[in-house]
Amino acid sequence: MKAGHLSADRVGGLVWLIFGAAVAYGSWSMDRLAELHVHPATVPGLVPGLLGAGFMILGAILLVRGERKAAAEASFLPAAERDALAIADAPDELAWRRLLLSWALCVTYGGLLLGHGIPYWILTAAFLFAHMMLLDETDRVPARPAMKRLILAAILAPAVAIAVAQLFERVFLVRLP
Amino acid sequence: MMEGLVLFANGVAGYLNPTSLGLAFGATLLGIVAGCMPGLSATLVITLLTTLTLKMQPTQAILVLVCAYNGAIYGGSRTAILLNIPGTAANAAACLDGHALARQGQAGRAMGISTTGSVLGTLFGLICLATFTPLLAEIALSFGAFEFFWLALLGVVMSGNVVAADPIKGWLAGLLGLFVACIGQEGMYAYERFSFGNPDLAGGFQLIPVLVGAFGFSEVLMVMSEKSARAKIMEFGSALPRIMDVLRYWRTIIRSGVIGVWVGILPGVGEDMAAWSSYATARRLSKEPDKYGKGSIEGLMAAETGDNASVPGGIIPALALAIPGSAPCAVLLAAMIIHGVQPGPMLMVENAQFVYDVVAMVLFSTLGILFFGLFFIRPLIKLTQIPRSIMMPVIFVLCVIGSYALSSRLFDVYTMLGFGTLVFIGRKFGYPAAPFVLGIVLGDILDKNLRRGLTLTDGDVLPFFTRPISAILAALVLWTFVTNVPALNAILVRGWTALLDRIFGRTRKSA
Repeated sequence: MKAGHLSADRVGGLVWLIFGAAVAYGSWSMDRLAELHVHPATVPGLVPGLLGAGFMILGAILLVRGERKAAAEASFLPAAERDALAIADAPDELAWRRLLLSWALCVTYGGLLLGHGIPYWILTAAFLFAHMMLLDETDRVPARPAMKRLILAAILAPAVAIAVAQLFERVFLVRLP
Repeated sequence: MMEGLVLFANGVAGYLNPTSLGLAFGATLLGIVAGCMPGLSATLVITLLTTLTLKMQPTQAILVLVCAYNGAIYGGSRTAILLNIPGTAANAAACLDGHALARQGQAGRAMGISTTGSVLGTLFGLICLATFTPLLAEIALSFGAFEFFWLALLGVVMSGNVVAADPIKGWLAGLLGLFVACIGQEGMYAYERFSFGNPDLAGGFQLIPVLVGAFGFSEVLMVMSEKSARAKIMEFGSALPRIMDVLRYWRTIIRSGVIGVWVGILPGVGEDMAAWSSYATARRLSKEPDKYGKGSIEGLMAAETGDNASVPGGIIPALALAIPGSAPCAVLLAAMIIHGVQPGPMLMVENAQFVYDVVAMVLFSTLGILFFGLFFIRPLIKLTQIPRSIMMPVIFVLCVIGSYALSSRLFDVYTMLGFGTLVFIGRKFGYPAAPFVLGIVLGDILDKNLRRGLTLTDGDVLPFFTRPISAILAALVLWTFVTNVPALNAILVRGWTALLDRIFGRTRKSA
């Protein structure tokens, strides 16, 4: 198992433990519908409560295991080797930049701008154009010439946007956002 | 038996019209194309297609989904053989010998073997689907709330155990799925759980936007976060299968078919495990185990037969028990419910024709695989050259509009974005998506049946452990859990050893 995953396991274990406690508390304090004479074994909070307990147990196992493995690793590996492992586990910077840019574009398009006044096909074409232009650079070695990229994106983006809009509006009778 | 054959003939006849044939072959081709593209999984394809087929007739919509599913599992072998990149997870085993054969200049032969294995595997699975679904449904008619509770739990536990490298993380993902299914109005008293007064949350999360997020958006992010691998077209000869390859390895084909179907039936396990299990068994029993990994025809045949046999195998419990055999089957199950078909033990009683319609759908997809697999190779390889910076945003646009189209509300788009991001982060840290999705699909079954059972017994939990089938299922769940937690496993082993010592120690002493 990688060193990064080990420390992530400890943090993850703690997060699951807290989340499980919150779910268990939420289930315990949930209405038991006593006025409807609901049997205590069939209350709405039963299954979420059991799931909360499950999160806590598995989170605790993850946490303890992560602690043990980290302690074992610390005692076996010299500091220099641990540092080398951490560097080897570090994510590729270019890949992270590409991912964050892609995620930001997707969330801006689908989460922030869609359905807030901009016509669907224009917004979709703009998103596709931006994605194709901004991410092609990092995707290709050697990079596609800028003019070729621009022409390709300028043709493809509106074509796909109009095709999707027409398909959903005319064929599937969906009122577009 | 005769009734089944008549229903199957009706099913085939019902699809012998230009529209249905066009849909079946078109969807199979689409599935093969998507399967060819690394990054596009079978689950993603059928999730997106579910949103595109909402307005279709139920039988035609399910036809499209089944054909695309089967096609995608087959399609991934192309890139596995030519580029050493499995198109879908199910084709990873095919990389080992398929690519080795391609490097030896036998790419065409490898593709022929892959096509033969996939077709024969699907046909074997098809026979099992037609035979075992009615039998399983009949057995399941005697199931009560107790058995369905354990079945749902077993699905999540087994999926978490098999799919994830770390079972603890697989189970946590499954539990999260079960919890997400609890949000909103519950099924017994219409009480709103964890909705915090939000009217959108009160209705619960719709399955399709969550699935599109978990398998669509997260997959887009996954592909964008990976280093790009440029495809190279290689020279290959004829992809026509050789009859000797089939005759020589007939035992391997049948054995891999059986393994594929069995792994498919196991709740939540999936095609990749079917391929690996078939491959490993074939290697163990082979007369030429040293050839494996270096271009073994038998190895490639075993892997490809196993993964495609698990496709109909996974549909068996989905139809008979409403418990999906794999992640794509979970989407298929959701699609059936959306289209008004209610899978489960009563399906054979209320709508037996539908079961045999599905058998006919698998048959058409197999014919499609055979046709496109033999005569449509070069255009498929060209399609794998489309750069991800063009492909991925187009897929995301479909994810957005597909989530929205279901109920025309933006909340579903936000759901897709939220769960997509969550699942992506989880996958990066080793939490698989399949148990999470299975948890969402099975959450309602688990919740309702646990509380129904407790209502029937007036709060007594004993019948959950004393009814014969319940007891077996409970033991399976407990066994899976205990054997995968080292601390509990150690206690179990110590206890077992102490017990044996006590019994045999005394026997030895008395002797």
